[in-house]
Amino acid sequence: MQGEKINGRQAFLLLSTTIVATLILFIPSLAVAQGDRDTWLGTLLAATVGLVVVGVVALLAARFPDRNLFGVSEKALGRIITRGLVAPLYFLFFFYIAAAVLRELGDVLTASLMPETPLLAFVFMTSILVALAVLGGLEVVARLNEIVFLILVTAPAFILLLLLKEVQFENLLPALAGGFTPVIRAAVPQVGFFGEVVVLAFIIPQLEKPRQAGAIGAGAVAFSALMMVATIVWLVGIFGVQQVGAFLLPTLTLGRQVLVAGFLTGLDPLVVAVWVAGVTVKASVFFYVALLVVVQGFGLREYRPLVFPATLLLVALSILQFASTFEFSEFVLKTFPFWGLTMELVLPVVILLVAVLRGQRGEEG
Amino acid sequence: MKKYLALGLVALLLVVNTAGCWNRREIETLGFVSLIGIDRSQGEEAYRVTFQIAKPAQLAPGGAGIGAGGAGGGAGEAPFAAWTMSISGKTVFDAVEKTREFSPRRVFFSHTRAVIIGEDLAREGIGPVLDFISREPELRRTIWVLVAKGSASEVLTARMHLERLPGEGISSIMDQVQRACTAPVVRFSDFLQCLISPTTQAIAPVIDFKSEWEREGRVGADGGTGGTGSPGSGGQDSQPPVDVRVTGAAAFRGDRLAGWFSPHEARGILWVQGKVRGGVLTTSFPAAGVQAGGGQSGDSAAGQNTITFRIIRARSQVKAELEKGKPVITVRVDEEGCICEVTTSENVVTFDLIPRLEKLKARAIENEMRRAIDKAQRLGVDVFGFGEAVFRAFPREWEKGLKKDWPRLFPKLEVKLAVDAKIRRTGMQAVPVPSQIMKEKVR
Amino acid sequence: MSWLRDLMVRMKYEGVRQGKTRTAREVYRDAGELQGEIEDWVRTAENEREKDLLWRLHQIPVLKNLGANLTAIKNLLGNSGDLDIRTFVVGARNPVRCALVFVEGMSDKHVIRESILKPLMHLGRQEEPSRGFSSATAFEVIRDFSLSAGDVEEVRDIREVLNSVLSGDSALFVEGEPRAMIVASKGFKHRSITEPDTETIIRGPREAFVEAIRVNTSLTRRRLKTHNLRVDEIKVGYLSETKVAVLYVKGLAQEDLVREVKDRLGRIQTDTILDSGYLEDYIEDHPFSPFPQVQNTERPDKVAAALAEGRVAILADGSPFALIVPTTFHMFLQAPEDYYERPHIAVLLRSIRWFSLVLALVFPSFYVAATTFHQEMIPTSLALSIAAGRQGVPFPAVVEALTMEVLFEILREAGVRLPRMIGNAISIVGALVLGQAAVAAGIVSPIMVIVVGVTAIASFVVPAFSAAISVRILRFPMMVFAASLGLYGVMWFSLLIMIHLVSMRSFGVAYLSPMAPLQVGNLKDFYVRVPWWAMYTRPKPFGRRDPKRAELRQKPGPPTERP
Repeated sequence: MQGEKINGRQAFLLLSTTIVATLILFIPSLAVAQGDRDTWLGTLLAATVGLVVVGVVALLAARFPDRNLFGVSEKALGRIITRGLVAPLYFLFFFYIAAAVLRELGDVLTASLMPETPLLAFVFMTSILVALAVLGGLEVVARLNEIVFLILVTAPAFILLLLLKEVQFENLLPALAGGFTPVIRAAVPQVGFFGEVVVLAFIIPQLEKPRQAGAIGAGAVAFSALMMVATIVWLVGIFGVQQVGAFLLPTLTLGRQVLVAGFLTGLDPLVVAVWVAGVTVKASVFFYVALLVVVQGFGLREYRPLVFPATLLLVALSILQFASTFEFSEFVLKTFPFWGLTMELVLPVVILLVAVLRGQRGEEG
Repeated sequence: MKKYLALGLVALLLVVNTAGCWNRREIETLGFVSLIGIDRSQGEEAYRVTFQIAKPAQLAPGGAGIGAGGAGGGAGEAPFAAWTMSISGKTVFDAVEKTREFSPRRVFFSHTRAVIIGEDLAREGIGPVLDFISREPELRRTIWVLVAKGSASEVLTARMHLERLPGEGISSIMDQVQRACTAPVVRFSDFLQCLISPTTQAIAPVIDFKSEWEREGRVGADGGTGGTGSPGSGGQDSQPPVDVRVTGAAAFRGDRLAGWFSPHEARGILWVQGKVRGGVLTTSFPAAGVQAGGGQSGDSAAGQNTITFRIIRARSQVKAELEKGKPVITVRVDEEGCICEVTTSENVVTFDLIPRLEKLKARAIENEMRRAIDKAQRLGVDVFGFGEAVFRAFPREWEKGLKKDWPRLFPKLEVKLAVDAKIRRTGMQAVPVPSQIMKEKVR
Repeated sequence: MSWLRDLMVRMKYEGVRQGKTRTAREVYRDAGELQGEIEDWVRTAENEREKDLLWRLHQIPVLKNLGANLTAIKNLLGNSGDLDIRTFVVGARNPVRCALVFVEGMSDKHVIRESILKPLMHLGRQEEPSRGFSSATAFEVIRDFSLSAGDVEEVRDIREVLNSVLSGDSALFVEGEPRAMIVASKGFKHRSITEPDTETIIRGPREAFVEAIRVNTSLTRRRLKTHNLRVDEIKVGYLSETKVAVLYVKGLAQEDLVREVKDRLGRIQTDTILDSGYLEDYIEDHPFSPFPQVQNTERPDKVAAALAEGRVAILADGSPFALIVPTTFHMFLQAPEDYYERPHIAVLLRSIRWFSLVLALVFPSFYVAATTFHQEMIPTSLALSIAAGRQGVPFPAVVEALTMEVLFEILREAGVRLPRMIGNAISIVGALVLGQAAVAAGIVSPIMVIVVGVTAIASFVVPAFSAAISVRILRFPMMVFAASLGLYGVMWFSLLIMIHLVSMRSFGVAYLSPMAPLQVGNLKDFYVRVPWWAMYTRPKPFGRRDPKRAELRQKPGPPTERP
């Protein structure tokens, strides 16, 4: 937006964190409840859909290296439709996700670690960080993520390593016992998350090498898929299929199983601490893109003055979105896959198709 | 403008910080529960929950910390550093909440080591109790599960040697038992997994007093076991220490206790599950010499002519096959061990005789497994996971009919055993000492 | 109306300069009046800045009349006790009256005696100089042929004369010349070169900067004898007229960087610069950040190394600390030993330093968070010990922690001020005894003493004092957040710090490079220190103009293995 650029590696790490941060938080148990032993196959399926999204993004980047999805839409569909329809749709989508992400963090913390603290406290505090990061710009968020990513990956890797002994891989057999249906049922809740890679389409002009967008997106989806598969396999391997489906916070429970040298237990607060960092980054990304859409939609030049009021809205939305964790789960299970797929796949495809049919191209960046 | 925003932000932050701390609990206000015992009780208050709470002041290293050293305790034994209390409630959580009425400390479960289930509760069904354990965020799923012979609260009021805190004590015992393998070592997550499984039944180790005398001795000192919520067992400090032991297994059918397995039978289960990691096998060697008369584990005539093996490691493989539509299970066990005690009068530990000894050992192992399988089949509890094995090998047939029929099929299941035992080492002595002594005298 | 005044004064100047003969009295009066005018203006100027500007703008010319000049100088300096004016006569046949003005204590008496006065007196006694020594040529003859002093410069403005004289040089006036000669004779006493106080090391050079800028530049030049080493000087501060030198290697340091540095220095309008620390405040990118963005050092070898990387150093007269820009955060965790000893120890030490940094910042907060919110994290026996230790302590864990930390900071500060004899005793023994006594009195729990002790020791590990300060400061708010929101609070505050660090730039370089943004090429000196034979490129942001520093394939080995 303001001439800030992030390089390929930063983008890759950023996208990875964006997808992974909430994906492995409590989606595994929702998915396992649907997919039983073959949930991990469902992950692969969902990831494939994510790759399709990446493909669309890559095509967009190849044709229009200087514009983001919004810009392409303006060219393809015309300003009125874009500003009137596409922009608000995407703004709502990203903003809602950002708020949901904050909500998720608050829910996790109040459910597991600090039950008496009001949700508002966590949402509010985290939103301050998000606002500060976004004020710094995409570069700041990307750089923050370079540090955060390291911790975000090391902690779960560490835990998985320590639990390796307890995993009974037989729990995953036999594969495909129920046919393909469970696989698809398990893929459904996950698909919306993998598709979140679509934010890449909105920051194409801010990449150092826009043509790398495809590789970046694919890498991020692959990495996230790997983390998710590992988590699911470990969960089912240690606890058995039936239990996992009943967990609220599967990864946290995983963290609690760790017993090192007979005394180091209860590492879950550390896991949660690491999450806070990941979630902050994810929320920042979505918040940033949402503001980007607004700014471009109204033809403004700077997004920074909007940060403060938008943050207030974000906090309010987080609290009001769902009345309970059940509503949240219902949303993730039933609403998000479809809404997500529409915004992440269908709309961009439409825009791209129109642009291609009209024979449009962008200028080289 | 910027300045006011910044100030406002700081003010808000201050508000959160000073008015906040909703979840704060100072560490010394917590009552660390190291063991939980759950029993069935009469009347409306159906569950009797016993907590054993650690007394930090007496546990401080460096004496009693602040203030004069030495808090009671007689005859060189460390003072008992826990307070046991029993509460009855309509549900488990109800009982927990009731503790607030009289406990100066808030019960805190994060350091709980084990949950002990009383026999009567086990017979009635433990399902309702498990929800609390699963749902409570403070309780971890890595805690041990044990079944008590008799009442759990009795066992909990026992005071143990050496360890000042029974939670630690039982935890240490469980570590040892894992090596000795005369009882299964079960964590809550595994226990639950078995309970939820459609075919496999759960087992749990049994905790009991070492002898009836100990139970008597302890019961006498027990003060007040009213069923209405009064805290029980004062005067625990002055009790002499008693021993509890963990041996054998309790098997469940569904969530009800189905039967007891003796220590060797319990090990038989472990052999099949491949969880044997140590332990001792004693076999008797026929005195006349070379006949391989089939070892009998467990009995030996007054310690004569026995060979004791130590088990180093063992693996098991369970394979399911279908013969004419009926499932057949083959269990294959590979074991490695060493000789740790020989009391025969002849030197039987020679290179040629080793294969014989190995067969002896294998037969002993087979025996244990067979006894366990027989008992399980008699009780109709598939504690081994045979059902799962069949499912994994033949998912289609399983779905089609075997799953429904499993309760009927299991007791008549044909189980083939194949044991391969190896002897690797003989300790520091090559020749049995008794055999040496005899020879000397003859001369 | 000031333009009128201006005009009038200029007219007066002109009259005087055209050298119309006047009586001494008239001239004196003129000079005095001139002085009066200027003094008027100086008095009526509104603030120091204007005065400074006035002083800078107006000229005070050197007059031809020797007496007038001397009177002007005496007036301007107000009859200072240490001002020395030596009048003498040069030349035997055509004697010319001269005067030497210098400040006692600032100038080297020996130089004055031997290199200025002696040859001039000598000149006076000679029958020679057939060079045609007359009052007209006296100046040139003296300047070109007689003075044996090193540096001679010609000035026409009394202000410059004063500047030089006040720096220790001497000014030579010749009767009838409207110019003066500034002869280099600086000889003020300064501290001799000793070991650095703040950056002691075990192996490596032990010279430290002193307060005299000339000595400091010489120390640097000794290490970088290239002709490309530039020492650009400016004067900052209108009361102190401090000489500030900007050092860089031309062709290596980026032009923009040098320009930016000079720019920022040039914009400083203040009265005194007493230490390079003053300059630091003025040129920082983020003055409100708790983290330092300018590196300071007492060691010339550090400066030389930095210059060789393409960075810029700033020396201020009167300060033994040099500033180095641009700076990234990890530089504060580097110590000279890392470079002079073998690389293996560098890894270990840097690990310890990074770990200690985090520890010093987070440990007390972690303790508070764990014992107050997340007791499940503590191993059982430890939890029980802590609980036992805290029986009877009236305060919540936070208060305990804060109190002890504050107490320790007090002790530390007191230890700095104490005379050396008592200082050592109080610091170690006192702290321990105090801690024990507090425990026995039931004010704190024993484990708190450990926590505070460890934290304190860890905070000493950071090599750069300025960075350690930031950690010490940030500890306290973190404790507050830990007390209210547990581990989440700790994480929150850490993220806040991270966001801040990540958005900082020091003279255009991202503060956290090479970590974020990740620059793999630069990592060879970040955490590990790659052996010298492998460091053949310069760190990227600074050294871009000449990236190659050494030759490849210089790995040592036994003779047959060498490439």
